[in-house]
Amino acid sequence: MKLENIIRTIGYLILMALSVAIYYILHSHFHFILLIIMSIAPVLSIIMVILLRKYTTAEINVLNSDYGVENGILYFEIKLNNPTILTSLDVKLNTTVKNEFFGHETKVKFSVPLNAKKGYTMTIPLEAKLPGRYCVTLDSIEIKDLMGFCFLKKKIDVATDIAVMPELLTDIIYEKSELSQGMLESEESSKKGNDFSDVQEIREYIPGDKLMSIHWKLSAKRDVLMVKDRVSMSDRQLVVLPELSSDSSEYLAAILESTYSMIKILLEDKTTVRLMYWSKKAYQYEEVRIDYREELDAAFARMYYESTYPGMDEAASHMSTVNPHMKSYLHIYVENGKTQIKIKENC
Amino acid sequence: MAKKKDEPQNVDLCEGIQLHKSFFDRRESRLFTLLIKGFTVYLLTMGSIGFYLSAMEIAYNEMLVHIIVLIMAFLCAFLYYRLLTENIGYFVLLVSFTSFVLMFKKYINSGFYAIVNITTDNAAQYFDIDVQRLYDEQIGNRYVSVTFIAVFIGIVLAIFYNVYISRRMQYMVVYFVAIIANLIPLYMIFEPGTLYTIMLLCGMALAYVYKSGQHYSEMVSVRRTDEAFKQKKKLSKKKLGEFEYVYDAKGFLQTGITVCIFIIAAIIAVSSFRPKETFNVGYKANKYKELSMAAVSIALTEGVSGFFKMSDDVGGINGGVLGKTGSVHLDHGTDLVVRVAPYDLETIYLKNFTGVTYNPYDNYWTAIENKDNYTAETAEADAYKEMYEANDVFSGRGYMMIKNVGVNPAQLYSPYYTKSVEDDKYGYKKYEFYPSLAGNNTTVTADYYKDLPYTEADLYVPEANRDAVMEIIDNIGFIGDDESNIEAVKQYFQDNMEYTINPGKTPYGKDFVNNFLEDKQKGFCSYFASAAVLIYRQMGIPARYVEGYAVSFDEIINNGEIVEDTNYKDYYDGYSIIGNAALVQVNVTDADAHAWVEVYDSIKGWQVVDVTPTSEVEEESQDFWTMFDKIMTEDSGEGVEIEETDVDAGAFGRQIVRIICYIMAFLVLGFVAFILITKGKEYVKIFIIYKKSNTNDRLIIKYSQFIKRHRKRDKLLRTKINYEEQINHLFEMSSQNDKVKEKISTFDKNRIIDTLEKAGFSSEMISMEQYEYVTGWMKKL
Repeated sequence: MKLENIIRTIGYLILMALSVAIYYILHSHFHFILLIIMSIAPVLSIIMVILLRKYTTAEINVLNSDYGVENGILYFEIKLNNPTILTSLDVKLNTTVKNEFFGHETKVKFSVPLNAKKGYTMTIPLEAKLPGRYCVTLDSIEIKDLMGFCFLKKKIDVATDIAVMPELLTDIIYEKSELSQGMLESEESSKKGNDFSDVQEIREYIPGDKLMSIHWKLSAKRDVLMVKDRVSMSDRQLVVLPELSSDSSEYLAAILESTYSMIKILLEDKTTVRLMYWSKKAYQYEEVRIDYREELDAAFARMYYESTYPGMDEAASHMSTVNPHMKSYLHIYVENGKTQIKIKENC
Repeated sequence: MAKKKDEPQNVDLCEGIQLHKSFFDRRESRLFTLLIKGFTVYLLTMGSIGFYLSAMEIAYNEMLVHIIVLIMAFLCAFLYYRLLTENIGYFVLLVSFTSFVLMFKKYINSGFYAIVNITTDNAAQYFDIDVQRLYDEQIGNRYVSVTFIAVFIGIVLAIFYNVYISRRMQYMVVYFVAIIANLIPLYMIFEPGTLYTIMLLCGMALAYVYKSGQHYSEMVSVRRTDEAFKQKKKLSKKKLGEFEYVYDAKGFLQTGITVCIFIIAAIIAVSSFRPKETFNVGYKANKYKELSMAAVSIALTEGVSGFFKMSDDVGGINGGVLGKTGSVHLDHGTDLVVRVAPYDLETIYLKNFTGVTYNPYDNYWTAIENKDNYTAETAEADAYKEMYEANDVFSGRGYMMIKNVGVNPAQLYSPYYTKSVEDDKYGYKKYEFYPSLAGNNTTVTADYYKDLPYTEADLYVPEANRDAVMEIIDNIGFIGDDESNIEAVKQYFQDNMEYTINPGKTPYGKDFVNNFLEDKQKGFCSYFASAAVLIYRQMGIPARYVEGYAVSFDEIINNGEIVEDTNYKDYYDGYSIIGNAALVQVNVTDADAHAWVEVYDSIKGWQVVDVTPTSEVEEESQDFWTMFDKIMTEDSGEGVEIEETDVDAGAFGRQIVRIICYIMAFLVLGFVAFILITKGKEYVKIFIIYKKSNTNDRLIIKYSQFIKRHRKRDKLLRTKINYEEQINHLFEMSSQNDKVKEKISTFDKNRIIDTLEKAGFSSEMISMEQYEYVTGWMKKL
């Protein structure tokens, strides 16, 4: 019971005691009615809130299409469904808002009314200041009775999320000559089994297909695993390896922004990109081939499920042992507060 | 361009996530919300007015009052739409309201008096009391005047309720105003009409539920925006992520309908189960109500001041005690019920107290019963009885029946000249008396007296009073015989002294008679009687001071009721100048209480001499209602209308002063109430938090209170911000303070600091022993 409820209950009891005293002395019909109402009302109020708790349901949706953009607005809609004719003037929505990729989380409480029959719909606009995977969970609701004596809690636990793409940088600094060198070497690595090719056909998954070939976004849409049949078309290919460092949110955002912008530049330049990142959970590299812009967003959305790690060379440090055949790659990290985009030799 | 102060901003929820300002863009229909609040105010206002008027069965134009109150309630609620509308609106409202009052003040006054008079009538009937004071209604048509006063009260209440409802939903204030004010009819078992019961209860329930919901748009009074959401006050970091809707018109309406349906259903159900018409049938008032009824009777007849009487007087008469009553408060309650068979036109004196010796400066008369060498004498009665038994034409024998109602039942109130008293049925005492009738020639010789007819005490004038008394005699001039002297004194009083029931108390250390004769020169009966006794004595006429009741013939005729099934002859036999009338019962009130003089006449014995001058101006007692009446009628006295052009600048000034006094009193009371409520709430909160806390928190709460108290009187302590600094400071102060017997040692000091720091900053719990150790030291300091 909250302090507010206790104070209200005490106040009500004082009023009731006063009414009883007046009735005892005056024996008036009016106070008789008043006392009957004062006795029944709390009971009815509690019954009403119990019924409301029983029948109220909740859902949560994202109103944005596809992905969000860094510094853009994400719209989450929380919908309370109340099929009864009962109302409550105060329902607390206990929500958790988090950026799972960055590990930022906060509890937010909203107080809304619960109208008869329609319930209540509330849109929460969140401004995403960082890229990542934004998740809003409605953990529980607390419904206050009309007389203000109590809040009844109902566990809800519904959630929804949306991936937020990094902001595109226009002033990205990198050495073009280094990049060309990296690309040539990537051709070499392609010969050693790495697939740098263009999509010729998209078909359903057949057992034996490489996981790398799965078209994740399409699979998600169709609810069937789809794979991309590729033919090697381009002679310009590059492996991009960002450091998913948890040292600083600012640095991580900068790395993601640089990675995203760099890949976009490369795609515009008809270069096939292999986004490779270190999976702390699986203790191996995850790799996504990106030929088109849509695939870039899907790749990032997939990457956001990974966990970040401390340090600025975790991903690079494993390359020589896990991928010894890789000659060179584009390493994106932060050094001395500045984002570095450098071709690294795998020695 | 600078940002507007109230323009919403993004709110940081956590790193990288902000609640976008567009969250606050949602708007609600504020007009609709104000409409609902206005309707709640209407329910409460009309419920309160209709409650009283319907309970008292006072007729007025209900429809008109409903319409005006409804419009007024909406108008008041809409004042809060914008700050501008509020400021201008209240000004316009004030001007309009003042104009309305000035234009129709006669109607409003009359309507108010009509309600008071009807209430008084009902109260008199219910309490079975005689309330004589009725207010003069200038407008004879009560239907019209009550309609005006209902509109007037409606406007005042609508403004009042609106302040509390539209701004703060203060249902407690509403409860106290609406319920407590309407206790008057309920006390007298006058129940309100069902419509008004519904309206009042619906209004109160709505205010309660909206307040409980805590979303009644306090922004209406703060920011005047129609934002649907706001961030909760930043009381703590924990509450930064809390957002609440301001108000929701739809929710308001739906909840209001639900509440009203419930109230109406409950009233109908209860009324059908226990109808109000039969609710109190056979019910006997409980003892507490019976106890309170006496007090309520006093309040009704005398007003609030009736509770503050300093002496146990009856009409200013108090068993020979003088000068204690500054102002006579008349309750007009029945003190005696007298049944008498009238036989002449003279006033009937009912003697209760006879004072023989005056005690100067102590200001009281010693009663005859307390004097040595005095025995109860019935000499005059014996003489007249002999005359009656001898069938003298100018003689008679009467039986007067007297019941003590509002006075001590053991006291005797004997008519002149009582021979014997015996108890009769129904609580009456039966006095056998033989009146002194005009024309009788009986001589009450000294033989009739068992002892002497009078003693030296009946001629004694205290030394302290002689100068004052002699000065009066000198002023009168010595006339001659006793009869002439008696009349001369009476005439002197009539010509030179003023009768008043508000003479003021005798100043401390002054003699009552001297103060009256030399300084005051005004007073009521006991003043004149006391002074006259000493003057007569100084003139050589044996005299005594007497108290009791004086019932005039007019009063018997006007207020008396004939007692049916009685025979006049059984109560009076003998000479009667009005013939064989009937036995009449008359209620004798404290307004009839009186003091007079008995002088000894060598032929007629002890005779009544009433020296109190008649007053040309009918004076009113300074009770609450009278003063209230004066306030209300200051501009139109005694029903005499003052022309509008006859402006009294003094009255206007007094009115301004009075209004300022009211405002000041209201502000002071409001301030006191505010402090009490604020502090009370704070203490309740602290108490609840304290009760729910663990030992660590309890110690910190106690310590905070302790430091708060000390900071008020120790300026230096206010600069100490942590436990160590504070305790070190207190340690120093205690070592300088001789009143603190037990000094804090360095060990104690360190232990207290450690315990406080542990309680304040550590997750580890302190022990009860540590808790008590620190709190023990707090008490010692």
